[in-house]
Amino acid sequence: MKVLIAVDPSDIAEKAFDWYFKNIHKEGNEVYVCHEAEQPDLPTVFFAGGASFPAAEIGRIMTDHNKKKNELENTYTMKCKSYKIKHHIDIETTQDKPGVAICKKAEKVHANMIVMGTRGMGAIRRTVLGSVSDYVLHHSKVPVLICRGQDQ
Amino acid sequence: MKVVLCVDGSTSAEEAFSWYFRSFHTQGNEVLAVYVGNQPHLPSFVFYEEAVFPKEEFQRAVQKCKSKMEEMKAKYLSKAKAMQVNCQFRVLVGDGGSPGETLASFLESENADLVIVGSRGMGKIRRTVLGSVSDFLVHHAKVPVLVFREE
Repeated sequence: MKVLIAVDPSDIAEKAFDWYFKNIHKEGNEVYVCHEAEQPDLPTVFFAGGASFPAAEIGRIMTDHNKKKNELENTYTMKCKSYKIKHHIDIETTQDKPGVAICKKAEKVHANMIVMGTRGMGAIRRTVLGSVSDYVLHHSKVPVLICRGQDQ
Repeated sequence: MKVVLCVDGSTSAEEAFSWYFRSFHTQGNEVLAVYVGNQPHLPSFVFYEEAVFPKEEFQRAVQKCKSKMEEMKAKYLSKAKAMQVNCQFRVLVGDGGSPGETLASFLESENADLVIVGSRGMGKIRRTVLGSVSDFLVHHAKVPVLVFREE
């Protein structure tokens, strides 16, 4: 079975991943770990008397963004290797909203199931279900496993 | 791991059941197929001068619910047998709450580790993507929820 696990840098995603491996994973399952990072907000430029292209700032933002992506890729590559899972790691930046990108990814890799946490990095912590999980739950064409920790 | 599989009379539930055992089940999982029985629609009656308690109608209504429960139980136990898997069948009777609520408290009292529910069941509104029970469980269950979708 091909399982797409949608992650982000949050604890909740990590817990969901660990829970999947501990309770659901079967020998032979192929795991696709994906993170659909939204294009970071780059500063807008005003060409009004004396404005200069904020190259340094843009450079900083992109470096930061790429650094986070690499960290995430390393974390999950190490996890998959230590769990000895047949895996593919896809951390990419997308123009789509994360939910849309995740559903597209699931179709592209022919995933049989999507696994994700309830919430990620969103600021609004009162909601039970984050916007991305909510989107995927409503739009996925395959079964979706929403992993909720005991402490939530 | 204790897995609760929510079933109703729909084919979606049957597919979820088969899919679970075919692709998902691990040796050692305890599986409970759970059906939330309908409350019988008891006829209302008014005490006019010559009102007679509609005893037969009541009995018929209750019997109808009982038969439905038996039918579901037989269906799922024979499916389990055909697939050569072990599975318990439980019928829950709601105490006035919605099926979702009944299931959520069952999950707690049973210390279930995972609940599997179809995306839609018997509901009349077929335009909704997520039925009321799955929607409720996704938002209120304290355990991981797998929402099954027919592929």
